[in-house]
Amino acid sequence: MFLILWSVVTSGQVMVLLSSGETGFVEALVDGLVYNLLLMIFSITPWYMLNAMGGSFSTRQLLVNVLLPGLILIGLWLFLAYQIMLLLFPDPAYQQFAAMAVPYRVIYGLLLYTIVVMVYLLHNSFHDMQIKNQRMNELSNLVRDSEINALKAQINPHFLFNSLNSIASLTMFDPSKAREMVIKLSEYMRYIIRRNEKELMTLEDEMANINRYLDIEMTRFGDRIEVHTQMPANCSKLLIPNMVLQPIFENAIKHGVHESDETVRIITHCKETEEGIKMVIANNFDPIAPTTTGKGIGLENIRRRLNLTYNRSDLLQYEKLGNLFTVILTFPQLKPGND
Amino acid sequence: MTDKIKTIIVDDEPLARQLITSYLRKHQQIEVVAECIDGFQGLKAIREQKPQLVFLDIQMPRLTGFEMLEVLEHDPVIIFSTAYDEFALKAFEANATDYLLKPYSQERFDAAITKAVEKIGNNATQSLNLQNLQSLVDTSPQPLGRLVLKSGSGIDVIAVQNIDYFLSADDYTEIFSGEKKYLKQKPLKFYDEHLDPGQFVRIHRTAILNISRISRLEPYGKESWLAILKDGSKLPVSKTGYQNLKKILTL
Repeated sequence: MFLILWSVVTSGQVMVLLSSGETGFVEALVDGLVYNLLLMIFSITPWYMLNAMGGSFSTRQLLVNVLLPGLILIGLWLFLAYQIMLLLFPDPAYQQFAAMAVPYRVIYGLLLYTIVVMVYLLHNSFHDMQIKNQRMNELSNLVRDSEINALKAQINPHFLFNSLNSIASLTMFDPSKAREMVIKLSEYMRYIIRRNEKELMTLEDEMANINRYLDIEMTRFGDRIEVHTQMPANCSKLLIPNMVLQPIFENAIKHGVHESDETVRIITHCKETEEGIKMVIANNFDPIAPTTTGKGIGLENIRRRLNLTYNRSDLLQYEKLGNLFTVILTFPQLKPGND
Repeated sequence: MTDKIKTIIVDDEPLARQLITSYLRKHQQIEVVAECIDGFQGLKAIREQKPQLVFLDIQMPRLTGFEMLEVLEHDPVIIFSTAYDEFALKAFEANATDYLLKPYSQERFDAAITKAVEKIGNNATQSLNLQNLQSLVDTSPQPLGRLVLKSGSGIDVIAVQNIDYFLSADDYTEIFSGEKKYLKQKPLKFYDEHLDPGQFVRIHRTAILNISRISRLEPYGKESWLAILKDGSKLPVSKTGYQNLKKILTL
């Protein structure tokens, strides 16, 4: 492609020279070949220069780094070609013609050089755009997938359908309790569906939703769940990532209620430290009950989330001691004004 | 029908059990003789009361509905009552009479009762297809996490990491855990396919070993070895078994 274009340009120049009648055929042909072959070789260099500069550059950079070398290159090109032609055709008629042609050749060279740079820039920006589009697609796929997964995880269908079944049951002998549960479930779901609006929520709001969840589970399992929460007033307006606590409480219910017949106690403490909010969540579980499902995936997700939000991997700790499972979380508070 | 149909409800949620008893009010011929909160209680009650009909939840503490059926000798008509729709197909393959998805209506419930009563009336050998059931409890892609094993008249639920090794005994498998030995009506091949391959290795045509139990390997004849376990037991290791073992142990 590149070569074809150049041969077209070359033959064009040969025709111009011939029709001007200043030179003979051989001279015109050789002249066209030498000048254009050299220019072709020189025109490759801006590609490398531009490439070396990376994808983006300012107008000033473009002037300094492209136009200046361009002028030097064209000077070099003219000088070389001129000398070669003088060696090949030493007769004075040709020399006179060559001297006269220099200004035209400068314009010609500049024009071609500009075209080459333009083509490069166009090609480059087109390529950039393709890559950008591709990345955008990937990103939006990723976001969509993770959102669907998050939603699925948070509106656990078994929780939802079992709760609805409890409500169906309550309507028959305790309608006011059924109504209460419908309202709780609605509030809980509304909070979850809205959660995408803000990444960080106050601890107060988050705990209120956790309590809705626990209330619903307590209605389902009655006296098998005990909840003790201690949240000092100074913590309540501090911020934590939305829904990040939910899997911890779900685990407590799952291992406490679904895998054992014992009463499960969930104890939550928060306090404000220099670092931010420190939270300890502990629950008892049956250490000998062989579980059917893998553990720790939910917790690893929390760690990843905290890492994404705060760029720290040491904010989550958990341990199993006897029949007590304890999770310790730290939520750094961003300084006001520091977005 | 003169005799009442003896029925047991097995569900860990009190409200779910209440819903079933409420729906049963219009079915006078059905008598609830026990309500159980998990698979263990269910198993005990079914063995003692020999009910004709059982309402069974799947996800329950200690012993799931499927696990309970696995060790049941008696064949009552089963109606599943659960929020888990992903098990429906499996349940029908096991000859479950019906599969009620929570929450369900009185009409849907009545239809299930009609089917169940018909089946009991026919007195056909409604036999729950236990063989089928066993294979489907285990078709889940996850490796087995625990086993439900009969031990005398009781049953033990054992985490797989507490099992030392499996030995083939014709169509049965002998399962060894500490001092205890269990017999399960399943070929060794089944365990080979469903145990975590990072933890259990088929060391011989007749043996699968928990690799954490191995103490050392001794050459034993030509192209065969003996695995000496930490408790002193010895198991044969074939040439292929030796290669399998090497693959895992060098990882």
